[in-house]
Formats: sequence, C-alpha cells, structure tokens
Amino acid sequence: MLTRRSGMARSAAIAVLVVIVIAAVAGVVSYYYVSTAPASTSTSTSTATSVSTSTSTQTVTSTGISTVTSTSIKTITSTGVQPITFGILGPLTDVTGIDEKEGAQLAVTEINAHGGVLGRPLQLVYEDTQEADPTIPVSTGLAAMNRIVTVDHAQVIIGGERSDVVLAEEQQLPKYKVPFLDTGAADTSLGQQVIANYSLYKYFFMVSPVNSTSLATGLISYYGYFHYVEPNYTKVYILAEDIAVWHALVPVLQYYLPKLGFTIVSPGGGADFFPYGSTDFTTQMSNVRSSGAQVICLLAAGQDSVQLIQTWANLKVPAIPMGIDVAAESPTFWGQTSGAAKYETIEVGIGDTGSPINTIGANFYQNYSRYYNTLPIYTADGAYESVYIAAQAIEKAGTTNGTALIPYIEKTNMTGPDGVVTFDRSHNVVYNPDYTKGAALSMVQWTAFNTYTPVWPPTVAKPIALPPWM
Amino acid sequence: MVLPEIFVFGGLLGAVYALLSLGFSLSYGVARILNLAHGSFYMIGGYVYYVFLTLSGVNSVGSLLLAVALTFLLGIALYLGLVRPVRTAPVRVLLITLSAAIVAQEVVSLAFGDRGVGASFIIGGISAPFGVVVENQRILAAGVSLAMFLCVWLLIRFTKLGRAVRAVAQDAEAASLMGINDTRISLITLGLSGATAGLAGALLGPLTGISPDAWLNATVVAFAVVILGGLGSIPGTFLAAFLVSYSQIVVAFEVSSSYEIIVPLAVIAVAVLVRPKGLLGRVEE
Repeated sequence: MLTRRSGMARSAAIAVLVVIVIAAVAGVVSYYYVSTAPASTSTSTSTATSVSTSTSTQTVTSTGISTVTSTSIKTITSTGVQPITFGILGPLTDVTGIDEKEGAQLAVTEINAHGGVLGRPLQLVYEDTQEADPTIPVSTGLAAMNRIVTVDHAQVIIGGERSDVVLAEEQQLPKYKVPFLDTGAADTSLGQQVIANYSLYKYFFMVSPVNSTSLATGLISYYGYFHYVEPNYTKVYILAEDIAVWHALVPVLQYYLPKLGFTIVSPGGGADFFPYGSTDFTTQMSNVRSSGAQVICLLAAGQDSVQLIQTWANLKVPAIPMGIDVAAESPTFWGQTSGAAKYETIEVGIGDTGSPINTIGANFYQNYSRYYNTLPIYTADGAYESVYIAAQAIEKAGTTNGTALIPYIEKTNMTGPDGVVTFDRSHNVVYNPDYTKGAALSMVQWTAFNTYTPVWPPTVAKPIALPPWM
Repeated sequence: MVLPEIFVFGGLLGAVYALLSLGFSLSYGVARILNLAHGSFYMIGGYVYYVFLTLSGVNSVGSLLLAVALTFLLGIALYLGLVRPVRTAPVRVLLITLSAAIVAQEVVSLAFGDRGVGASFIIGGISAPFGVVVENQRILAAGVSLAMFLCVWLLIRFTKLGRAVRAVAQDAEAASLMGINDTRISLITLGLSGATAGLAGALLGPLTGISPDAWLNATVVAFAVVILGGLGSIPGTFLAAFLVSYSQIVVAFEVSSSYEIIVPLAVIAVAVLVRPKGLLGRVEE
C-alpha cells in the first residue's frame, strides 16, 4: 500500500510537472508572439510607404468629424465625462477580428482627438466570438453578444464574420435594441430579415463587405473584362467550399459565365464543392488538370484556401485561380502560402487594393499601416467606417438610444476608404462599380510579399500576369 | 474512373495512414491504452517541425528529427503524467486522453492562433508516376512512412525488446513474472506511438497545413484503421490503412470530396457491427 501510494504521489508530481512545463512553453511562445506582433512596432512596411504620403487633416464628407494623422496611437480617456461605448464583437484572435479591433481603434482615436461625440469620448469594449474557427458553435457568438450588451454596456455593436453566427446574433437585436454594424458577414439573407420584419431587425446594417449578390455581380463583371483582355482563356473550373453562400452564388455563375463566352468544365457544368476546412487538395487539382481548365473560379471563405493555393502552385496546375478568397485578402496570406499566392487574383473592396481611391482611404491606409505595421483587410476599413457611421448618427440624433439612432444610420451618406457609403432598404451597403456613387469592388492579383496589383476595374487596372507554367 | 490517380493518391496516402495508425495500434495492443490523444502527437509533430524550421532556422531534416524526438518524449510524459495513474480503468483512460487532446489544442491555439500554419517542404519539385502529377514531398512522406513502419515492425518482430513488447502484449502479468518490466515496455510503446504519429504530422503537415484541430481527424483516421485492421495487429493496421485511404480517394474522385470525411467514420461503424475483431485482430472481450 505504501509503495502504491508513493507511486501515485510520484505520478501526481510528474503530472503537475508536465502541466507546468507545458504552461511555461506556451507562455514563452505566447510572449514571443505578442512581443513580435505587428501592432507593437511602429515601422511602416515597404508597401505602406508607396501609398500617398499626404498627412494633412481630412474631413469625412458630411460628418463634421475629422480624421487626423496623429503621431501616436493612444487611448484617450476623460475625467468626469461618461464615455460612449462601442462594442467590438468578433473573432479577436483571428486576423479578421484583429483588423476589426484595430480599424475601430484608429477611428476612435481620431474622433477622440477632436473632442469625441456630443462632448463625450468614445471607448471600445471587446468580446471574442471565436467564430473564425468553423468548429466553434453559434452559441459562443450569442454568449459574447449577451456579454457585450449586458455586462460591457455597448451602445453600438461593430463586428461579425461568419454569416451563420451573425444571422443568429441578428435574431437577438429585437431584444437588445442596439445598432449592429456588420463588418464581415456578406450573406444576403441578413438583409432580407430587415425587409421581412423591419420593426424587429432594423438594427442590423451590413457595412463591409458588400453583400454576396454584389460580390457575384463584381466577379462576373471582372470575368467579362478578363475575357476581353485574354480571349483565349475560356475554360473555367468552379471550385467552391461546400457552404450555403457559395451554393447560392454558383447558379448565378452558371448562368452568366457561358453568356460571357466561357465554358464551365467542372463536373456537371456546375461547381466542384469541397468541405469547409479541407486540408488536402490533390484530388481537386488532379481534376482541374484533367478537365483542361484554364481558369479556376475559386470561392472560399475559410483558411482552406491556404493549402489549396499551395497545392495548386506546387503541382503547377495550368489554370489561374481568380475568384473570391477571403483568406487571401489577408496580408499574411503570402507568408502563409510561402509565396504560392503569386498570380492568384481575388476580389476585394476597392479600398483594400493598396492604391487608395481618395484621400480618406490614403490617410486610413497610411495610418493603419504605420501604427499596426501591416495592411488592412476589409474588416478593418469596415470597422473604421462603422465607428464614423455610428458617431455621426449619435452626433445628429443627440442621443445614444439605439432605436433613435436607426433613422440617422439609414441616412448615412459618407465617403470612406471603399467609396461612398449609403444603405439600401435591406440595410446593406450599396454597391456601385463607380466608387463615387457607392461601395466599389476591385480585383487584385498577388504579385509579391505584402503587395497585390489591381487588375480590375479598368480605371485602375494593370495587366494581369499569368503563371509561367500556363 | 480515373484509375492512375486513384492508384497513386490512394497508395501515397495509405502509407502515411499506416504510420499514423501504427502507434495507436501498438499502444492498445501492448499497453491496453486506447489513447484518444493520439492525433495530438500528429498535430504537435507538425507544429514542432514548423517552429524549428520556420522560427528557429533549423534545417528541414533537423526539424523532422526534432519533431520525432519531442513527440517521443511527449508520449512518455503522457503515460507517466496522466495515463499511468488511471491505466487500470479504461473509461478514465479515454476521458483523460480526450481531455489532454483538447487541452493540447487550446494551448497550441493560444500560442499560434486558431488558423493553421504551413511549413516548407523537405524536398521540392513534382514528379509524375504513372502520369499522375504529385509533389515530391508526398512521395517522400510515403517512402519515409513505409520505411519507418518496416523498422518498427522489424523491431517488434526480431529484437529482444520486440519479444518483450510482444510478451507484454500477450499477457502483461505473465511477462512481469518472467522478469519483464511492463511499465518500461509501456513507456517505450507510448514513446514510439508518439514518435511515429509525430513523424507522420511533420511529413504530411507541409502538404496539408497543420492546425490546432488537426488532431481530431488524425485520431478518427487512426481509430478507423486500427478498428478495421484489428486492435493491436501490425499487419492488420498496414492492410487497413490502404483500404481506408483507397476508399477515401475513390469516394473523392467518383462521388464528391464532400463525402470523403465520412469514410473513416463509416469504416468504424461497419467494422464494429460486422467484424468487431477487425480483419486480422484477436477476439476482444
């Protein structure tokens, strides 16, 4: 018995030791990552310096609130004045959530530097939904939403990423009566809820990106342009994640691509759907090769495209990927794919091309790059714009009451990094190929580390490069 | 039917599945430990390879060896720290190894983020066996996996240590009475189990990417292979690995890759219902 006890005690001691070692290793690695995280440094990237270097103060159209080029990012606190609280709700350890947080921080800093809103400073609170991980259930997002409203007392919610999570969060809005400015999810059903039952769901607004129908419109427009400049590349293989948003988009592509002169060579003249979160794409790439495709119309919202693009480049599949690839919008994508992203062509908001379309975009791009040492993705400018949209509404309404703010948010008409922001009756940001009339899209091609080149619309397009193995 | 593609891809995948599942089979066959954290060794092996290669500047072969060494030690640590105190209670073993796997996922997720990482290949370029274009890394992964599998099998079959392992697998109590230290044998087995899965992760990780949740699929595949092959049977594991991989590839090519993931789960269900002892396994009570 004594021996057994001492054996068990030894085992317990070893167990404790193992836990301590694992914790220590995790701590050291985490510290390493935190200490080398982009936001902690202040040097600009090479691409950032190529952006317009204008540092003058720029007024946001029709808001009365100014953006400034400050020399340091710091939280502005006030004494004795109750701050107005904006809640950032998203996957805060993922690049989409990090960019939401940083885009919002930048806007809040600018607004606070000019006296805040209604004489009160803005402050941000954060709740992590972890929704970038497809295995995380919707309920995690709902719990985070509950906390951000009832515990953190957010008066406006900014964020969202996964459409299923945001759709569930939208269902909670009649209860909370807090404006929700979506900066990640693009499913059109989100806006349809607003139309179907306005009094309940009027709190929802889709700021960025444009909705999935508009994304499809932009993509089809690009394919038409591509056919004009490269008329010999007509065989398209549609490769898509097996998720609802792409199932809705594929029939649209099936209808329009043949009208533009393309032949769809994927199985059955439809799409080759692969499971969300796939890690091995040898089967798909083999099928693309044997189909004789010259273009891969890629539709991907998850991180699986990292491996897909690597496999494509490693196997030198003679078809160029051109489509919607959310992961590829991240500046980290080049590194994640070890440079295999070269030649991939993706749809982005026109404010994210690296060639700002207006001075607001240039200042945003420059400040963001300077302070966070990385390039913004769509969630960053969406959150940046959202803070200004909400601040403008509060300023005009003279209150932070959620229901009272809705008419003012609906009347938003301001210029942001992606063009002019207005909302339609479904509370989706209005898409327009002309960025002076709406939120515009662009197609960009990865050409080097931290750099992609716009290849559409024609006003900003440079020639598209084809892989040498095509 | 695209036979060359199915033949090549199924064969290359099967070799890695065999290595991945070998340790799972051994740890049950020898130590009677149904280790649900087995896939964690695969995941950690991939991350160790990534960390040393990408962040520490160690070359690819060195990173691979370090992945094997560290997962070997981790296998021993898992046994000593968590499994040994409860090893006589199978349900508690299942629970504690499952918990360990989830903790490992969370720790890795905290350190490296939810999204996966990718690492450079050990060997670049492509080849076209039977006219099918594949990465050389994939061929290397299959070759190393087969070689490692063969080495472990030879070790178990023809060495003194292997005889001791087989003795413990047959009857731990009798082996103990004959002077064999069954704890030491279990330690070595768990270490070997970790190292083989870690090697599989380091070899396949650069091809598939490696993410904190990669352990789950790896565990499911290993589970399916070992259930089908027969718990504890090394030849059965080898045979079943190829059956599972070919089934997956046929489904991916001829039906849809969306259903590929169902194959191992279906294999587990069918094997348990139709032939619980597996293809070449002993009858289990």
